[in-house]
Amino acid sequence: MIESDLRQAWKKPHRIASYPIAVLSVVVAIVAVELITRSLHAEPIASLMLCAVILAAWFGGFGPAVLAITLALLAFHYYLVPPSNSFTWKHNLLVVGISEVPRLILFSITSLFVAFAISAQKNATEALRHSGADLQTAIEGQKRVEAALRRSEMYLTEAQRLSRTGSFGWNVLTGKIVWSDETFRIFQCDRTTIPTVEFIIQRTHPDDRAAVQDILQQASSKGSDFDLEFRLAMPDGSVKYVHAVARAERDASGSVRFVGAVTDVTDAKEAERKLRRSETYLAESQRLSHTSSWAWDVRRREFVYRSTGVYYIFGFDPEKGAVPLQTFRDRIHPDDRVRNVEALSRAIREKADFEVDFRIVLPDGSIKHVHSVGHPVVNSDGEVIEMIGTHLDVTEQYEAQEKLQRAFDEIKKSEDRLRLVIDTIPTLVWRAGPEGIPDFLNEPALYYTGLSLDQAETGWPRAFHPDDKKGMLQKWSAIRETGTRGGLEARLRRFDGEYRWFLFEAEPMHDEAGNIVKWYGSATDIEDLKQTEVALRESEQRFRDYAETASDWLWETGPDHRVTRISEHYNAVGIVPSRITGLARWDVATDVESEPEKWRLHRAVHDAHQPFRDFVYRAVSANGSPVYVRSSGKPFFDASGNFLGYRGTGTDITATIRADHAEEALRNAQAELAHVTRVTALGELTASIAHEVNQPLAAVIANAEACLRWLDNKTPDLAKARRSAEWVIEDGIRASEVIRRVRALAKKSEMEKALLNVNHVIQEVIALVQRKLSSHSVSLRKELAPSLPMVLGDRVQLQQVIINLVMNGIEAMEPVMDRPRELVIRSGQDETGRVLVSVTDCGVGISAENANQLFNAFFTTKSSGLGMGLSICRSIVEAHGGRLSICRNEGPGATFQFVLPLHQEDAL
Amino acid sequence: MLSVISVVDDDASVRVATDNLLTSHGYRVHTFASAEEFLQSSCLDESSCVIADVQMPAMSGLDLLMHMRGQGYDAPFIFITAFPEENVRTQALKAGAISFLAKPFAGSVLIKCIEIALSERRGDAGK
Repeated sequence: MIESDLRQAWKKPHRIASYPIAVLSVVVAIVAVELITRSLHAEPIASLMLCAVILAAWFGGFGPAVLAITLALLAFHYYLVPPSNSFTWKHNLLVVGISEVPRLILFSITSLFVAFAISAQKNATEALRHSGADLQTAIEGQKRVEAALRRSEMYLTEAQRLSRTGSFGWNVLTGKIVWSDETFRIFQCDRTTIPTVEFIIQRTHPDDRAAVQDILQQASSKGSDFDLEFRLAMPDGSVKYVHAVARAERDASGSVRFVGAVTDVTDAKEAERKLRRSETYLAESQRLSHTSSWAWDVRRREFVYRSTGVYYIFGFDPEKGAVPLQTFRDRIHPDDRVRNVEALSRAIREKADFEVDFRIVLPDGSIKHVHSVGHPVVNSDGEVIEMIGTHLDVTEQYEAQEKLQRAFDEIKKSEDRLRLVIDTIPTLVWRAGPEGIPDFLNEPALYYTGLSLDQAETGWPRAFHPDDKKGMLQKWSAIRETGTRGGLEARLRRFDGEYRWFLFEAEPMHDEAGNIVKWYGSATDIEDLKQTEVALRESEQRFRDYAETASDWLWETGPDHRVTRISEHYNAVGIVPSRITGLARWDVATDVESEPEKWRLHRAVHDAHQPFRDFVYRAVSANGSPVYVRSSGKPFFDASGNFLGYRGTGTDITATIRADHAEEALRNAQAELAHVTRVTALGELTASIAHEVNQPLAAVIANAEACLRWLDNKTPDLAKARRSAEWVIEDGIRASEVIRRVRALAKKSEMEKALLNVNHVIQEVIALVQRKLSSHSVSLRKELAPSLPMVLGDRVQLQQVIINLVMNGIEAMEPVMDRPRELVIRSGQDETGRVLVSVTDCGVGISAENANQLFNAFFTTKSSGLGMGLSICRSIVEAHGGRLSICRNEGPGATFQFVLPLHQEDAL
Repeated sequence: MLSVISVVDDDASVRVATDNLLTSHGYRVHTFASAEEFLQSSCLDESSCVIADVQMPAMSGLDLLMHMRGQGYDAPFIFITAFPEENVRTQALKAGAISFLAKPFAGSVLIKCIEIALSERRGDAGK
């Protein structure tokens, strides 16, 4: 295309300039003819004209040569047609001498031939030259074009690279596809790859393949342009968006060729996607933040832009298309419409921002609160052309604020109530900052201290008692250091100067970070409590002093009678308190087995929750020596009367017991001895009586036998016999004297009469015969009348009587094997009010004939014994003015009983 | 030569009666009111037989027997007692007494015992 253009440019000026050459050459020939003719007188017209034609043909080509011929013929006309050599109009144009005609014809032919040949020659030469020059030019041009082309191609390539647009050509018929570099780059393949439709389809994203194939198919078959966008699936897995545009060309043969461009629009696509996403985000964020934006065209008086949020705020669905302005306006609360319009107008007029709150009434009656802000857009003429702004849905904030306000009102109300409470409660209430300085005191606190609220900071600390202030400040700072609730006691001055004890309690309040922001506290008047406490403590100390003085230790037991508490000085006894705690008294004592009756009674007292006094028992000290303890206790109960245990005192009386022991032992021994000698007289005494009697009896027999012996001698020694007989009499007297003494023993007025309770006497006897009873497997039953009148009597002698009766009963039951051996001791009064004691056994019983002799001395049913017992008993009872009798039982056994007269004073 | 019999008893009437009985049978009799008195007397060696009460205030008859045996005196012993207790009787016989008689006893029994004692003693002496 470029080549042909260049050739045309070359030819055009040449043709126009060649014709004057013909004219000029003919003129030159004519001048030459004239000159030659004049100088040489020859007429070389034809030759010269031929030269002119040759020249014209050479320089001007065939056309100018023809012109030259024509001019030459005119010249001939001048010269040959008469008047020759004249320029006048020659009427006889064709009047040429016949001789001239062949010359002319020859000339014409020759010149035409020459002209043709020359011009042809010329043309050929010219053509050759031109073509040489053309070739040169063409080579240079080609070089330039090539450079330009290269540059242009470079530019193109660069441009393609920059624009990410590759070009391509596609000959449908041949199937050949030509790609630019960028196209190769776009398809990510090197230039060795031969691009084919199949390759393109293969690179196409699988989802787009069908569509791409379809479009290419249609375009190629119809020969129509195509414009398509599709994705490429790259070998590295990435996806490219490409936009291909192609123009169809049809060549002469009718085959279709496409030329087109393919652009990598991935970035654009990405940008678009991002834009769309950010738009979505914006819309979403606007929706979430209840924000929407709008633009108002001032001149057109309409909204040129409303974000979807605007629709939502006004309760419209943006999907359902445009909503007329009036419809929007109708949704604004009637009271706010005018204000809205005014605000907008003023903003436009004053070219100022506007801000307005209005309400939207939705069809369901709910109200939305909107905060709208606008900003004027001014053009170069200073004219407001647009207002742009946002609507902010502040319904929630508004409602929250409403609620907050209501809450504030409530708080205010409750604060007033609280204030009333705080100022009314009969407790001093205070508040202090984290550093401990008071900044609030309630009415009672102010009233009590006589301070005003602004004096709290300094006045409150000064109101503390000088003696307590230092301790108070130390404790208060200790409480603040721990940062937890705490309290202290101190005296606080009243407005009239009197100090009273208060209990101060403080509770910290923390902020969200856990820092203490305030201390809230109370001060309770504990003056009365304090005094009571002091009095109580004094009282307790007083009683403790009494108790500790009166005893060695104090103890306390629980409901199970086990020791729960014991004062420390229990140690003085040598018993370790830790060993005592948890044990009952009977666990500690060592005389439980030896004195079962004492302990049974003691436990009975405990079970009845009765107090006890001076209970003495034996225990063992840490070093193993026996200790005697005297204990007194009193039950204690809770408020509802439940038994909680005993409290009492203990005293170590070991020393006393030991000190008194000798004397007591002596006294006891004496008493015991006296007792035993007298009491056991009825058993033991029989032996001593026997001894007393046997001695004189032995003497009687010996003397009597000696007497006989003296008499039987061959010469009877009468003097010695007499002497022996006298001794017999003396010894006999002595024997009867013994018997008399024995009886007198019982009768002897050695009685130590005293007022007695017979029941006590019986109890003492039971203690004495306990062992005898158990060794003979006899169970004892007591039926003692609870309140008997006192009798005047000798305790020991009465004991002797009862013991004797009991012993008789035990012995009478000795043969009994087929039934329980039970002995019953009764006390009571007979019909005349005399005190009666009976002992009933279930033994062998007494026969009627024996009964009469029972009380005679020396009567006995036993193989061993002198039968003195009942005789002596009767003597004793009768010496007391009473009577001993026997009565047979209904069942087996016998009952012995005696009655004693009442004491005279009682009788009276 | 008449055998010498020592009677030790704290009861005077028994002492006198026994002396009377034995004298009437021809024995020589020495009486003592207590074991101590007998031990201090000169009759220890010449006593062929000792008749002693068991129960005496200070030194009992058994003690006397032990003491004399300890001193090498082997005179036969006859105990008489007003408290004929079995364990005392056993003790006495074990200690070497010829017999243990309960008061009151028949005179003939005592004489027989003395005769046995003296015959044994004579037998012993003859060896």
